[in-house]
Amino acid sequence: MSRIFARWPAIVAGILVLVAPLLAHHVVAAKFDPAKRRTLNGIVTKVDWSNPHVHVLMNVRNGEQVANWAVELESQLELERSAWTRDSVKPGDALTVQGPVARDGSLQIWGDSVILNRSGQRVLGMSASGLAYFRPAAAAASAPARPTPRWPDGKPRLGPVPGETGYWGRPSSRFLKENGVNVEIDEEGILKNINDAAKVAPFQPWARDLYVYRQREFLKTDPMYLECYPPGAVRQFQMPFGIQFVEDKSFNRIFVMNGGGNHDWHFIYTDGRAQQGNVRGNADNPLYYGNALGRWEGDTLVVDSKSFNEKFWFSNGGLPHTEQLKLVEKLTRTDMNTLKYEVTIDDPGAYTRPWSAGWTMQWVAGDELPVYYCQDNRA
Amino acid sequence: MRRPLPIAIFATVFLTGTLFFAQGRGGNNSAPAPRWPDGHINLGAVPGSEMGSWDATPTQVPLARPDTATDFGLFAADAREPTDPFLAAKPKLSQIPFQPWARRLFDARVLTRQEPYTRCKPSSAARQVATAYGTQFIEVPELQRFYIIETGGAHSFRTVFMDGKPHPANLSPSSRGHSIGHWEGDTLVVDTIGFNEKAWIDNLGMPTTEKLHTIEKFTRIDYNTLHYQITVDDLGAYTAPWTSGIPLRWSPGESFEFVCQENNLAPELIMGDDRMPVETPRFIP
Repeated sequence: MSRIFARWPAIVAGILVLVAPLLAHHVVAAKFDPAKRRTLNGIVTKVDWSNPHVHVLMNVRNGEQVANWAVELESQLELERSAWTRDSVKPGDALTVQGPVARDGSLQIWGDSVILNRSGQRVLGMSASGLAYFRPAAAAASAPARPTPRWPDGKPRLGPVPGETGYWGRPSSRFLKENGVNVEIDEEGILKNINDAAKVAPFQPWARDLYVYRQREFLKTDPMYLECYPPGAVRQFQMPFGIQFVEDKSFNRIFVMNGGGNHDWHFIYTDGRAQQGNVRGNADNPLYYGNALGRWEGDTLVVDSKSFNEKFWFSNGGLPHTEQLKLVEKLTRTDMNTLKYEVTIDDPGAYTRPWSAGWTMQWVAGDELPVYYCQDNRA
Repeated sequence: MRRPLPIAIFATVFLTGTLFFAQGRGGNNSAPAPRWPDGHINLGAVPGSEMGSWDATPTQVPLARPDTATDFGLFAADAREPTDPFLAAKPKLSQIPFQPWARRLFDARVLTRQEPYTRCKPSSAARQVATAYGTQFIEVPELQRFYIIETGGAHSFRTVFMDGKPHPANLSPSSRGHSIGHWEGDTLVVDTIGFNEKAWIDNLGMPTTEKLHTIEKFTRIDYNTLHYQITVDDLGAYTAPWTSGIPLRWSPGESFEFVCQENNLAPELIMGDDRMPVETPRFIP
């Protein structure tokens, strides 16, 4: 264990180079070993064009032996945003692939670079526009955003304006840390310096140790990736594939729909009900999204949630929580294009005091919520 | 006794939702289908009254065998002669115009019983509509959207675009395809293309190809009953388009969080413990 710890900075440095483009699924270094890089020449046998990762299978000859390797790439959604299609590479094509190979010794390689031999062209990589699509865009200073759209009763709209489309994506933060804490964390939620772990939030000692443990193993036991569990509360607002709100005014409830994860949904009830498990099953089955009860305070939707289970990670990065978790989330659409998200985390089981965090999401105008299923390339 | 009765009953409840909830409540049979103020049919709950969802509760134990064709599947058992005209119009297995390869694949699927639904995959078309614990149909006229939202199964949703635009060109195949809809009188008509070949459109695995085009019709014939009709137009797998349907029953009550992936017993309970094992892809997670 201590040996692994000693190698940590070197490994982290490796990851920062290797996973810079990754947005969608597991941390690359959780599965692939940055210290074991290979170059493979092979003939494509199959292209599995799906989420969460596209795979190209290819036969690699080594003397008399032929082995079938799986080349893992970004998700279908991301590659399509980079103008690749399932026909960009076809069975029979000869490829040269470079990247780290799987830690478990199976015949899998992460496709850092995929070259189509016949043209010498690099294929199935992320383009600049493909990368930019899922990341926060700098606000155009010359064109201020339109004001917050409103319902006839004056309440802000959380969803699209009639006649338009859009969804909330491009979170300004993809990890959780207490407001005001100055530590460096990458887009996958991995600390740049593991010694900063205790600063991230006011952890109980056991929770800090669990956080450090999860960080050291590159979050490889993350249930959202491993089991396709729901993103769950808080984390759903950190997902690059975004969320959509549909406000059902007839029943005073808000559908919150996830683009990514397992593409699930939950309700925020705004009908004034009491905070108790009055939905069938919820009273004795703790939840991934809690009992989420919303009310408007001025232009802010304040959502109180509790009754959480401990089976999900409520953030990228692996911060623990317990069933004692209570959340107060504040959602404010400050203009047409900006959703301010603020959360206060009160979990005496895992933290020594309540603490707060916040970030923004951007309105992705003119597009539909992406359709992404974690389950797609499972058995 | 390979599959004792309690397991079968549990499987029934697990698969289709709520025998107890669906059958014991809502004695509103004679009430007409509710309408919105503008006169068009409301396919969901009536504002001010209890919420609810649509249940495809079958009248038979739905173990996935060809000899136990169910009301929520896409064909009727050959031996049955239903009196309900809607059910009577369902094709029998012998009337489905399979391509030869598709019939062989169907027979193999019936034997191996590897329904993707039981492994938490998003189901398409009729299988989505017949999801356990009910589906909600939510129209948002202002946004020209219609949502088909399931409680059980993958606990996911399908968006039906009602803005009059055609399907986009160059759709990348997906499990639920791309749906557009419009009202024809009191019937909501949903047209879908862009399916992949992985998803099943029903519980027994009627084969489909990327040529699949479905036309689904949602007709709420009274307060408690919705006739779901589907035309399967896929000349890759069938020699002609064919039409079937599933009756849905209004089931009052609130929807709830459901996570298929958690402690999932569906393969054993629904498909039986003598099903063929599913090969795990080598590249996940």
